[in-house]
Amino acid sequence: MTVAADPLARWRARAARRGVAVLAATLVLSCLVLADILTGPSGLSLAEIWQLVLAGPQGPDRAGASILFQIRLPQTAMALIVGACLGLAGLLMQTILANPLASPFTLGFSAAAGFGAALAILFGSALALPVPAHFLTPICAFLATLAATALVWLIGRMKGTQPEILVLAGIAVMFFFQSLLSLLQFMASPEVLQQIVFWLFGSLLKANWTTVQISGAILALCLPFIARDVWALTALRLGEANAESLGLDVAALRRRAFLITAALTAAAVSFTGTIGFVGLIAPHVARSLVGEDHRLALPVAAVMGALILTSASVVGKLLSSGAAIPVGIITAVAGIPMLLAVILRHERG
Amino acid sequence: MFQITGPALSRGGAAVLSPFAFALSRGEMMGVVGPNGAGKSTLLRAIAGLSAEHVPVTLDGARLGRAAIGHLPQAFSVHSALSVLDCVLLGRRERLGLRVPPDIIAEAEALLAQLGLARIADRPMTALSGGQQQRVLIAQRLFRQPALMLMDEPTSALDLHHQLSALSELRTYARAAGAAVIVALHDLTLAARFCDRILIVAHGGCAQPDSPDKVLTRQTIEPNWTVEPEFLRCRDGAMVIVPHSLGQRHPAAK
Ligand SMILES: Nc1ncnc2c1ncn2[C@@H]1O[C@H](COP(=O)(O)OP(=O)(O)OP(=O)(O)O)[C@@H](O)[C@H]1O
Ligand SMILES: [Mg+2]
Repeated sequence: MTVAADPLARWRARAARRGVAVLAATLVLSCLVLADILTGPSGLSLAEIWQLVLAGPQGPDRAGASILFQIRLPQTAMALIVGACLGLAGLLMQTILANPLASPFTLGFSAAAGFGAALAILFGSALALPVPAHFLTPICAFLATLAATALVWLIGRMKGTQPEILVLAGIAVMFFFQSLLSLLQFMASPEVLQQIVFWLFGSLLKANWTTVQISGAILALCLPFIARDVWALTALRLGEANAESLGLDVAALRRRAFLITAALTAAAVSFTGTIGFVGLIAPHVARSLVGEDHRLALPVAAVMGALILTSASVVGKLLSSGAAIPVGIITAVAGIPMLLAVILRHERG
Repeated sequence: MFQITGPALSRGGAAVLSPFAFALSRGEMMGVVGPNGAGKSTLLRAIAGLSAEHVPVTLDGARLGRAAIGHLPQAFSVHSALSVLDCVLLGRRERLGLRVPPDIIAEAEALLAQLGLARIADRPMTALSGGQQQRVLIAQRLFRQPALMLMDEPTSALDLHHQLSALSELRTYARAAGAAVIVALHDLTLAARFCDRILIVAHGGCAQPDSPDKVLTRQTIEPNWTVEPEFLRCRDGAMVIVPHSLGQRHPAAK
């Protein structure tokens, strides 16, 4: 192996390699997006899909056009958005809590979303609210996620928002909402229970252009706020004392990032259901690819999140010839070995 | 002229220091010395704006903002795989955008070369020794170019050579940039050698800073440190303070 004699040359070479890693990840993601659009139970061939794309949404083949433009494309778009949201939220959490196991899933945000959704499914029809049923569930999931965030934050604030306290509060909140969810499941009739369980399997089947637009808009709104703090987040990696001494208001940064995490998680899970492990693993993969400079780690975490979810979607469709296996199940099953790999790698490094 | 005026300072609910006021001139390096737990770190943190108490700092009558004050905490250990060069760049984090201009990188590289750190510029912080980490963090604070630099025991992990080079770099920075450096030190000989004036923090208060040979005398050292000082002169005439045990327990150890 040849090693450049000059450390500065090595530093520059590594910066260049990281740029290549970003491009490579984006390229792989593009291929997966294509694969995701091409796979599905209706077995459209590449040539047929191409014809449908050329003909547009109003093309002569009504059934084909509706499969492509009303089912596959929104599902793929949702996989990208949800994956990006979870990847970003996971990295933000791990950075502000200085904890490699922090993620929207482990801190109870997803459990809260499930509880909110179950609440809506169970009682929604009885309330006769002026909101269509297919919107009430995501709205309740969204609000419950925000409520869980507020709860974690309020508990953490009692001890000066120390990261350890926030993590403990998050775990407590997760168990709290899981128990409430079990209670609702216990109370539900078999049909309603089935609906709840189906919601809890995070699945892209619920996607349509409206949900894509809402989630995408929330993601787009969060991006400038995240971009503003990239250097502050990188500085926080040096430890709280060092970051503070560099003039960083660590408490304010935590508060901002926490709020953004809540919005991203809510945007991701409200329309799809519980999708675990993406928010936990994508940040680890991102850091191992491009290091801790958040200018690169954040976009790569987003790309990795999208990549993991798109692969899960393709795998889910390939494994089952009928209804696709929900991505939430695939990411949970595949996530455990990935998590172990990450932990073992961490031990060695 | 820097003017620093502070109220009584407390830490964890207990009073640590009585109100204080002192001035520093541009280019000055001031030492802060005192026994363990006297309040040196508390004083530096308060001046840096990191404590609940507000300590106004003015330069030529104008308020000095937090961005113009640099601080290096006493406990510095870093558990991040960021490279040394990235770490130094973070010294100017407020002024960096999504793209770092090449001239800023070149400036950081030059600083690393000047401080003898170029050889490890690409190493992750976690792969450095304690002293190397401390030197990188000193470099980071120098890269920040603050008008007032507060260094809390910046030589605590350094070998003999780097103790001298770090303190002389700090003094050179003060002189060249017209900045002021306040440095907390335990080694009285080093403090006497590098600092223009010395401030003793002990018994809940700060004395007025004065030149080393006025401040570091048997009358101040024996009661505050519970050691008997022996004063020698080294070959360039600088003061060397050798401590001898008084053969009694330190009052704080009771
Ligand atoms: N985080 C804290 N909470 C409560 N009390 C503290 C804390 N940090 C320091 N103290 C107390 O404040 C007093 C001053 O501490 P400080 O750290 O300023 O001393 P110091 O002069 O820097 O000592 P050293 O030479 O050991 O660094 C001590 O009595 C110490 O016990
Ligand atoms: Mg101290």
